[in-house]
Amino acid sequence: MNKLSSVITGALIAIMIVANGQLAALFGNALANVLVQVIGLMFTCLFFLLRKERFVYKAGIPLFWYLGGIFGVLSVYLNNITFISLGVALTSAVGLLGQSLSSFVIDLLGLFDMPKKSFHFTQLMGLSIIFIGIVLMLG
Amino acid sequence: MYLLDLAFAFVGGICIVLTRMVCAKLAERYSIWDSIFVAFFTGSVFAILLFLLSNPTFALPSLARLTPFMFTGGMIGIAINYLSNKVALHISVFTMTLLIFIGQMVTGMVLDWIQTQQLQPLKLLGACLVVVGLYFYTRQNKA
Repeated sequence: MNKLSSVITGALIAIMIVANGQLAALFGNALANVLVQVIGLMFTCLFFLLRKERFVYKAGIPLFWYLGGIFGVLSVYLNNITFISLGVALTSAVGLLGQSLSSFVIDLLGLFDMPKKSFHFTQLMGLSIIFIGIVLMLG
Repeated sequence: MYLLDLAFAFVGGICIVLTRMVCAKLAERYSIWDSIFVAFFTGSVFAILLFLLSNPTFALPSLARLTPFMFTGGMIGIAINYLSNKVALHISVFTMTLLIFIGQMVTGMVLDWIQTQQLQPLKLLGACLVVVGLYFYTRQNKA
């Protein structure tokens, strides 16, 4: 079930790139991003209302941990630009290279309070194969 | 311009990792739904600021060009956040990253095919290599 959920998550990401890209083509990237975020916020609030829950602020948490939405907006913003020229598959593939390399740096340096992990040859080999795959996709 | 688009897609991938990391950290202290709420709240504020700073003049598009599908991005985003937070607790990062990418790539190719009516074998081979590369990259983390 968890494996199926992961595949569904991937499929949803691809569909979301198309939906957001079409919205950006009509309204412009900046306004489309506002609509995506506000609609998401409205539905999250609706969920809280239906479950009669509310967000209770907790002190002592670094401000940075509250800023995930900013990076989310930037990723939607950038995807909306690239979706039109690169298509969904190539945007996903190049994005994956960015994800792999940044994860690698985070692990290597132990950023975000993560435990440091040593560098292995197989990881370099993996990144090289991903890079070759992307070059092939570029045609 | 093409190179710039590739650079944007690359930075977009980095932003996805940063979003996942920061949201997961917050979910540790609150709950998954609290974390999703905070992400969309700060995201809304930041998106409105970006909009105001960019060029707030726009022409309302004709209603005939609007489709309900275009407005589903936010809701799909909630589902993605929820599923990835739930699944992350039960399977390895290796399996999760690989399966998400396979789902994303297959759906992406189908959607590209629907739009262009062309299936490019080289693109398919490239995608397979990306999956193989991802396997090698994350194999170390699985061990």
